[in-house]
Amino acid sequence: MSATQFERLISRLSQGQVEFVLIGGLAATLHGSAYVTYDVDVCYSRAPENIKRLCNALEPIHPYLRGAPRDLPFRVDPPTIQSGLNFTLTTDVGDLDLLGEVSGLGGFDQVAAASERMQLFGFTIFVLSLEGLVRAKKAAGRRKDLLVIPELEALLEMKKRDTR
Amino acid sequence: MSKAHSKIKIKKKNTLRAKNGNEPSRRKKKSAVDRALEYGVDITLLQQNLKISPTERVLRAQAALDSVVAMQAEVKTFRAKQKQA
Repeated sequence: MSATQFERLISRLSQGQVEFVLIGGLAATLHGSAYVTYDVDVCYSRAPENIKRLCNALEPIHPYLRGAPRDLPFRVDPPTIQSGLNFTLTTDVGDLDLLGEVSGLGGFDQVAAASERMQLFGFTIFVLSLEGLVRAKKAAGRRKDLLVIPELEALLEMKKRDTR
Repeated sequence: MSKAHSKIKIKKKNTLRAKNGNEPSRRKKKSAVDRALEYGVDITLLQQNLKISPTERVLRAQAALDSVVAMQAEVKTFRAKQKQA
């Protein structure tokens, strides 16, 4: 197993002009979290044109369902993405989770509204805000999500103090 | 009971609770940083992270992940060798 290459995944999506918002652990890292994350989570726009761009961007890095047997007839193409919503994928450059909706927030438009622009690896990308991350983690309610809330709320408070 | 009476009653109740060693109901709410500290979050790591740029934070996270994955691979190899021996 090799480590997920964050830069290569983000660059690929950005160069492919995919509309996405970075969410999850890497978004938390961008805001200052000290937790180590293993994958890249994004919320993507379900617009047909965007799904086409997403599939084109991912094709060269051979996306496949994470943990599924290799002989499954699975392809990341527009009909597959249209017929599903959330996908946990593995690629040549690491693990990537595609989410059509985020609990506590909604679809891409709502997630984008709760995000902020950040400069990363030479690209301007949308990153879910700390407030949005807390809301999503609380709504997800899983133990692993609830564990990180105290840290995220502390970061939120520290940032507010700094801007005063 | 009049409003004034009920206010006095609440005040007495709070005073009694304070005398009994219980905290009064209107105690100051803990800050998120204090709650995180109690929870075991290392605030110094967060302070360090806030001093660097978002890109640097991701690069650090990448380095940390690379190390974790390399260590996991090493442990796996070691265990496989132990099994063979």
